[in-house]
This record gives sequence, structure tokens and C-alpha cells, in this order.
Amino acid sequence: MTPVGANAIPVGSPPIGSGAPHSAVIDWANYKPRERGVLDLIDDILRHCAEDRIRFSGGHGTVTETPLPCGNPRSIAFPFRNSIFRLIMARMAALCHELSSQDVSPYGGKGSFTDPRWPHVCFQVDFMNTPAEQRLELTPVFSSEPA
Amino acid sequence: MATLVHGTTRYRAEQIIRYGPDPRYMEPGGLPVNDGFSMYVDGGPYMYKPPEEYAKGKDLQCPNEGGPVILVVENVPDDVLDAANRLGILPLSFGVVQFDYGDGLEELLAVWPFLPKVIRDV
Repeated sequence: MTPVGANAIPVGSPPIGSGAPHSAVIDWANYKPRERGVLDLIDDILRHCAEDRIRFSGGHGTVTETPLPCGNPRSIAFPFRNSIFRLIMARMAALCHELSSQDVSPYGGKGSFTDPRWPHVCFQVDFMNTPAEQRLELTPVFSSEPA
Repeated sequence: MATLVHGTTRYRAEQIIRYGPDPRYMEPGGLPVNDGFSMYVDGGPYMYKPPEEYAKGKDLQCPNEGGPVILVVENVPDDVLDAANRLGILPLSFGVVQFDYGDGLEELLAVWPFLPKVIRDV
């Protein structure tokens, strides 16, 4: 699968949920990086949010998955060093720029982008990525739901 | 081996060359942190802003530091690169090498005096 935002997404790229091996739920405690490392991890997060209707949030060594619209949140330790989480957040800003032409600072802000892979889920991003504060909220928006 | 680059100001590049990367470097007015040291693989891919843009941003913040430059560090050994990617989450193909304590920084500092370094104007 072409990683989201890793250069151009070819037309007809595989839909979310096909291609690279994955499970529907991310096994954070035993997560094993694949060939593309953090790019695969970001793909896994986006796929998980879209397929399972999950809001993904995190910061300070913990990630939280909240079933939409208002399920019980589940918090898990993030299995990598904090700088990796900061790279993920900065990558979200880059995706907002690459896929939606939004100018979002890698150090924080709000934005959105649409995954070019089927089913073209839009993600809202709200994050703070500074030495003093790190938090991320990634929310998939489904077209059948009111904005 | 790989050539790595870091966008910064001329003053900071000269300090980094002389003393090595300081993961506790504090931006003017910033907070004391242990933030590691990030470099790009020369030539990309650049998953974030290109190093020239980072250099220009730091120059805008600190216009008295001699202007934007790219610090180029050549011949970074594979074992140093591997140490920054112990868990396989940051392969070189990602384009970013993140050095943290316990994840490559000690190895980088050990060979730092012997690595060829160049300051490239932006």
C-alpha cells in the first residue's frame, strides 16, 4: 500500500484495509514496525480510525482510542519514544498541507485532510507539538454524519 | 554510511560542529527540554518541510545568528544510523534520523569529531 502522503498517491491505489498485513485493532503492546516504519504506523492509525470509527488521541506516552460517537475510551502506553510521537504529529501537519493545501504548523494547530484511498475518509486534526506540550486528537469524519 | 543534513543558523551550525549536537539546546525564550537532535538524509525524501525551510524559519526567529545554512555531516556510519533506529520505526527510507539519548545520540557523539562536516549556504 502506498503510504498516505509519501509522495503522490496513484489513482486507484488500494483501499484502506487491503494490501499490507494488519489487524483491525492495533496491538500497541506488541506493535512490530514494518518496512516503512513510522509511515506504516500512520497508515495503521488512519485505517484503524476509519474502519473501526475511532477517535485517536494521545500525548505524554499514552494513546487513547475512543469509539465514535461517544464510546468508552481505552488508553494504552505508546510503545515508542516520545520523539516518534512528535514526528507523527508533525506528519499530520504535513498531510494537511499535501492533501488539503492547508498551512498547518508542525508545532501545532488545527486542520483536516482526506485520505485519498477508498473510502476517502476525511480526518480532522487538532494537536500541539511543542517541547512544553504534546497532544494529538485525530477524528475521522464520515459523510453520513452531520458536521 | 549516509550524509545527513540539518537546517539551522550559521552560529548554531558552528557551535554544533565544535561541540557536537546538544539535545538540550534551548531556543531563545524557550524551555529547558531534552528534545533530541533531528537530521534529514541528504536529498530526502523530506516528509516535512525541507531543511532549507527549517533554516529560514530559525533565521527568522534569530536574525542575528548569521543567516540560514545547512549543516552537512558526511560518512555517518551504519552502526550509528542503526542505533537511532533500534526498533525499526525510523528506517532511512523515511528520510528522518532522530537521535535521542539511548537511541543513537551517544553513538553519534562518539564519532562526531571524526566526521567530515560542511556548512552549506541557503
